[in-house]
Amino acid sequence: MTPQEPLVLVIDDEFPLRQFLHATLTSHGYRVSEAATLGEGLRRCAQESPDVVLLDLGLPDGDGTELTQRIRQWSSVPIVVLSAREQEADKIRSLDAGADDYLTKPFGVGELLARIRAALRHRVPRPAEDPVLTLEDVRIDIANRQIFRSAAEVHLTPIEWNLLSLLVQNLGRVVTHRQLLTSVWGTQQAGEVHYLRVYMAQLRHKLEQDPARPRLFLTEAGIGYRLKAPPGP
Amino acid sequence: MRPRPRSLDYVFSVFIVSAETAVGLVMRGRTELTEIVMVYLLGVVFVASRCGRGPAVLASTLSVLAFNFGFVPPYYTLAVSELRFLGTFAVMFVVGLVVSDLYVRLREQSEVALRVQREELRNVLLSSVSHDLRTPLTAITGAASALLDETRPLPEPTKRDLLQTISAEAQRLNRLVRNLLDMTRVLAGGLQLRKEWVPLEEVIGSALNRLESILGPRRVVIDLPAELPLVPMDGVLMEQVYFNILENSSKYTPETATLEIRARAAPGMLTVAVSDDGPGLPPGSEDKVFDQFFRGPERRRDGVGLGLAICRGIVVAHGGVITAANRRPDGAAQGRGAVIGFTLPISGVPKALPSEPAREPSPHGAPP
Repeated sequence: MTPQEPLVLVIDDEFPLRQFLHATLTSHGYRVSEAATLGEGLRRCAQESPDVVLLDLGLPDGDGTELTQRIRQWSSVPIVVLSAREQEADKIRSLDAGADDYLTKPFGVGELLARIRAALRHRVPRPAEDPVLTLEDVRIDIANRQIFRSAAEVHLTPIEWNLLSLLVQNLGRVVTHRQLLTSVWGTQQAGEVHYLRVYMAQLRHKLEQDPARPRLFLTEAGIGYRLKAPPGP
Repeated sequence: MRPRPRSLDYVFSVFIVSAETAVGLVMRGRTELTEIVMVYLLGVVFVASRCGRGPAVLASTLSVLAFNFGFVPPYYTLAVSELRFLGTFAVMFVVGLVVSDLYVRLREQSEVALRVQREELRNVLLSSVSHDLRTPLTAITGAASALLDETRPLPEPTKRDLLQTISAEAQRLNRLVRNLLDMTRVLAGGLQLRKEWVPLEEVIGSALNRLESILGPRRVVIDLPAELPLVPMDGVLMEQVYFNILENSSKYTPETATLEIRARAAPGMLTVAVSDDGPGLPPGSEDKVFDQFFRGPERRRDGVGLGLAICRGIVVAHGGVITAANRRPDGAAQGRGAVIGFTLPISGVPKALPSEPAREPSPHGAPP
């Protein structure tokens, strides 16, 4: 093992889950550090400066959202929250508190690795020499504000372009309704989620092969949207 | 059980008797005394129905006293000129007590009956759940222990099969737990709707995304008019409605089946129909499919019969109606297929989108 391998800090009180994460992540080239409590998690986070934190929201010794806030006071390390489906409000709260993404339990290895890759990608800003993103048959040229589907150029309205570029900046990561609304329409319109839904529908109609079965612009029900990243190495 | 009568119930009892006395005094001389007695007895029954035993006893007592005071000569005293009135008082008091007691007892009995019903439901739930949870658990335990058994090494293909069993059964377990949690929320009446204006296509898309592995090669035809308006709904819960209906359709249709989702909007109302070209519903079961624990004739092993019951709970909470039917009710042997249809009310209009310069024609119902 070399120190260059990214370090993942797993904060979860369930031993079987830590064991599963440890086995999976080490076999995919990550180093893993484990904590069973929030207190230990906070300490390890400060001492070991991990590259990604996986944080279970259901820890017995306290509120994961609070830990997120405390880590955010001094660190911008990507935090991926692990939570149950029913905890929508908790997910939104921790995303608002500064978490970067979430994984709904139960999850498979593919999903786990995709989230970690997306989180790591945002640790290091996208290299400027690769300003063209290709997703299936869609080619997005950020620098020149051009977008092509198959070979044909697609024209976007200014708002559609703003939304798309926010999603591209967060490729593979969930972006909450609030984040999208406030940065495109301003804080005053943060409650008008249907603005967003109408424009996402327009984007899908322009860029998806079948807008009713989207493969790129995924809906995270009740939370936000995610632009699906191409499968990683 | 009813909580103990509060002091407010006694005040209510006094109020009813006073009101009756006031009405009676206006009518005095123009009506028979027996009719006045009837009015008082009616009041006692009313108090018993609303407030229970104690206030009803008070109402009986007060009724007798008020009747004596206001309607039995000499007026405005508790003195009684004729002995026969004492009999009237006694009968009035006893009838008041008996009727109110019967009423209260009847209500208590119906409460007991309701409790018994709930208890039965819980037992069915427990036995059904324990069976349906244990089946996948057994498969997982068995497969895992076979894989762990070092004394008998397994050939690679067998290992792979066992691992696939573990994965599939675990997913099934997850769906079961999800349905149970959803049903519990529906039953508890605790469905908190977070209604927002949502394009139908988005909800359907996200349900189809989750259904990918369950649908398999089945074809899904989506028929939505381009000008379909936004509909007020809880998007998370409605996604589950589409998920459950389509999951159910795939359970009872062959992999060659075609499923169709069709939606139309009329003023104030959205109508959705999800149909398939499978064997259809067993005749006579059209209403039962929404009952808890109802399962199709083959009793497919995955599921406890909660999916459509959850759908009904969610649609009803939205103020809609859900129905099931066969496409060809005459029961022709071929191409029958089932249709699950539901409605959602549309009231009000969403806040208009701010206009955008240089916009292109919108594909999806955005106002100009």
